[in-house]
Amino acid sequence: MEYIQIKEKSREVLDNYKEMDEDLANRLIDDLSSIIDPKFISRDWALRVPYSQDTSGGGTDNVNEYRTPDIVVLPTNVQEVAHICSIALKYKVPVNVISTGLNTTAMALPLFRGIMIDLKRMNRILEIDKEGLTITVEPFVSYARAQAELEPLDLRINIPGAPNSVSIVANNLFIGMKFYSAKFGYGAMEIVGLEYVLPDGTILRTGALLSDPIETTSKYKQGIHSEPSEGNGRVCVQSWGPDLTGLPQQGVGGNGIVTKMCIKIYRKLKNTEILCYGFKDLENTTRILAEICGQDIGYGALMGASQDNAQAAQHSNKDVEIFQAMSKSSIKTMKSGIKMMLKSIPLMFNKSYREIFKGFMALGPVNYVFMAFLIGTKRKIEYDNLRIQNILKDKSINSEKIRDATPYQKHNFWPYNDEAEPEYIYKLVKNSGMKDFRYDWLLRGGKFLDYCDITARMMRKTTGLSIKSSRMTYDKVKDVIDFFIKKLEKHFPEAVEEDKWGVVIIPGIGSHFICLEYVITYDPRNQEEKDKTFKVFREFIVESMEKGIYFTNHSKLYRDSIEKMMMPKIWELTKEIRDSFQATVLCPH
Amino acid sequence: MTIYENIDENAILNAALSCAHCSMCYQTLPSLTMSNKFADICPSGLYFNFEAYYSPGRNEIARAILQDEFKLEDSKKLQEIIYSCTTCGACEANCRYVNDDNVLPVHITEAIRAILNQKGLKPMPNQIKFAEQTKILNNPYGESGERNSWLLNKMKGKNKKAKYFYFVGCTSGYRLKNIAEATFNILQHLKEDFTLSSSEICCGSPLIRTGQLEDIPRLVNENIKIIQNSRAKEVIFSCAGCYRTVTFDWPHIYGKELPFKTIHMTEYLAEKVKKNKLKFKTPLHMTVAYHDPCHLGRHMFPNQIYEEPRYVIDQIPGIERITLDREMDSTLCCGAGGGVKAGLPEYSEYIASLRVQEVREKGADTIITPCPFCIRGLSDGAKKESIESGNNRIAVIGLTELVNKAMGGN
Repeated sequence: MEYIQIKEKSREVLDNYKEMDEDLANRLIDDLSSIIDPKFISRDWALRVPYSQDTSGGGTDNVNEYRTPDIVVLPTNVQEVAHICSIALKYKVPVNVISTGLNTTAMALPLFRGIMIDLKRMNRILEIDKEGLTITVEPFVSYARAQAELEPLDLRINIPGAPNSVSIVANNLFIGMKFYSAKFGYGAMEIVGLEYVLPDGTILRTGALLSDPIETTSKYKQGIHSEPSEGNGRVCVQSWGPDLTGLPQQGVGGNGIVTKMCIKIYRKLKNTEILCYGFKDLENTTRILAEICGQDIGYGALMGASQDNAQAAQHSNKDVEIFQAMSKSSIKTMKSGIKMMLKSIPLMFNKSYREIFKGFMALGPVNYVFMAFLIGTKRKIEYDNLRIQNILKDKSINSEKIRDATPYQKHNFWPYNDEAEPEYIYKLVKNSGMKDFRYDWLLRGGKFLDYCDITARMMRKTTGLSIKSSRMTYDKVKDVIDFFIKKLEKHFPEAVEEDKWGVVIIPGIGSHFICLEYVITYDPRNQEEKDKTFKVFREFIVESMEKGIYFTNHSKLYRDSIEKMMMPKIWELTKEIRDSFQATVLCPH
Repeated sequence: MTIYENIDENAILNAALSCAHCSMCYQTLPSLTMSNKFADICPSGLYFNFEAYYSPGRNEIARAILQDEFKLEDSKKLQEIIYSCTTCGACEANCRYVNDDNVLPVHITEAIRAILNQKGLKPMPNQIKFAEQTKILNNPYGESGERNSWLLNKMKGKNKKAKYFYFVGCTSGYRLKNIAEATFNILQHLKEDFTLSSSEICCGSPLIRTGQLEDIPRLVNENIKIIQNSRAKEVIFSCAGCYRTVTFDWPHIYGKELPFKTIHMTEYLAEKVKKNKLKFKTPLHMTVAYHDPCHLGRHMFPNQIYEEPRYVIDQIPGIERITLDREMDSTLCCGAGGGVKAGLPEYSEYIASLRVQEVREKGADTIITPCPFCIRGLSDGAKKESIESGNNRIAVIGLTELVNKAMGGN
């Protein structure tokens, strides 16, 4: 199917959903109010308009088309969510769901109008189980908030690449990649229990939450003032028969609305070492990465196809101003973070870029930066480090000279400082003479929270960001990147010329798969430019899927076309299951 | 966070469209999140919950208004949404971390208030009232008595010409006279060459924050004349709101650089302590938390005043200053700003009580803040929190009052 056909088909779907008439809206509101506090139900346009945008910048291929839900409801517990679903089913009205709204594929937009369930009031950390190492949260709890509670207990959550203002529930449902995914798996693999509401209003519980009575939830105080209780040994249980934990995953709220999630947490490890190497050649870098992951060394690695790094190398001996000018106009991938660090370091430590990159860049241009996080006992770190050095020395794997970063450079690429307190940060940064305090996260990298702010930073004003995420094996990395660039050159040559693209590669589980994130930046106010990025991605996704590359997180609007075409059997089966609880009536995607 | 003479609707629309909806403004920055309980930073979002009351929601509403998507009169909630923002700038401070080109949500809110005002959607009744009172009596409190005369009497006919002009402000002049008195005592104690005036009028802050701009040029120009008459080269403020308005807003309205410099008492005091000109004799045995006023902090970007007040407090013998989960750029507003205290008092008190709750849980018995308006807001919050928790009321004291006490004053 061509892109244009997908677009036309999607347009037809969209046109089927008109604005709700007043009579129906009033009946719905009356019925909803029987259980939910009426002050949290509204049809006022000023309360509906804010849901017409999410982080994706738009979901209908038309940046100027803003679709609003007909009614907004803010439930506060699972019973209220179940009530909304059953009322929606009674009137056959589409249901949308939003928590933090952070996604790049328009998943939180009410494209089909109807009821918008905003989960902002479900913001409690319900339980931290220190023995069983799990945390149970409601949908509006962010990673940052959870980690803040885990920190004093010497525990940690697996931090995702997304900004840490993102909902834990949403990120895990959409199989978000984490910094420790190479060891512990991606989002969905960390879920040990769910509570969710099927579109027909049935409440289901799975895994560790299987035997959790509703009363357990309702005893917690409503609202923001929640204190997590400390559990004592929640066991990860797989259900009998087909495990329904997977049902809501990737469902954009269409297969069920998750109201409670229990996920794994980990003990905080005291010893960490970050290895950081620069390479010129992609194939070589991928080979090394595959070998390191294959040998199960370290907890994670990240490789940025970053032209900023190359610029840093090439211009490290030139004036700072030239470098700054260069980096301002460069691509916006992970190197955005590196760029920020570059900007701030000289001011913080009175060092010039020249000093920072001396040695590291002396061996020639660096196109790719590879990082490995070694965590464990000191002996384990030493041993893993030795194994990595051996891989780098093996000429059948690595054909380039080793460009090892100094500890200082490593710190700058991946700052690590557990000591920094907020006041210290402000003082330091303020005294540095910088214009603002945006660099605070640099100094608190110890929690691995801060790097994620970069992702949010990338979604900025004149550089809207389109990201698509795929899964593959290591041997396909180079081919897929080449294919991506070819697509860009065909439809959007200026994106290539102006370095408006980028790729981020994150190892998945050991050597089993790798996550590749493709990034195109665009001006969110420029309809033409935005259309082009959508077009490139749609074509790229369809053709890559034919090559066996699996893509995640499709826009609601295109799931029907893309996934149905690529995975017809699964799609039919999914539809059959969803029909059984009438999900297709409520959630057309 | 300032007002321009001509509001460019296209610029506001572009800024609104530029909001990435990244949700970084809902809570403290991830790297600065110290607890789940005290991580919310948007007062109106926290109270009303709907997306519309958070900055991305207001940006989207601004876009819809500027693109004439809906009729203003069709919404019963629009007024409350637009005027429930305390314009504290917490969202804007977070936005700076992730945006090269600032979206500036508070600029958008202030501008959209002014635009709505022109289109006929007026502010809350009490907000209109303080604008009307300012027009007639030159102060938002509706006070008709002669301003600052009680302080002038203390000066005993001192020459009106001086190095410093102390701009007392309406809140300190009429409602919290102890702040003005403490400031006056400190300046006298330090034998500073300063003056003040009974002709001083409202700086215009409450009107600018609520988009009621009609009377602003008069207020600014009259005040500038009064200050110029004193020949002062520098104006001292004990009010954070006045300081921010004069420093940032007045030059736009005056059309050129102001003929004097501005300095807040916190900066002044820090300088005097550093130079050993101000010494503290009386130990004060208190456990205090410092509350950053939005108008001294985030609104003063890139010259936020964060260190000076902390430095002064830390020099006072006997005082233990604890750190809150939300400080400096991440401070939770006292809930009184942006016309909210007058317009939506119940919500204002609720936010203030949450701030007081944080102070109590962190172990302090007193809140120190250099803003009279924060003192008013937090005092009401402390009262509410005390009734609800059944604990003793947390004291709220102005920084100048504290310094005055530590100097051995009353």
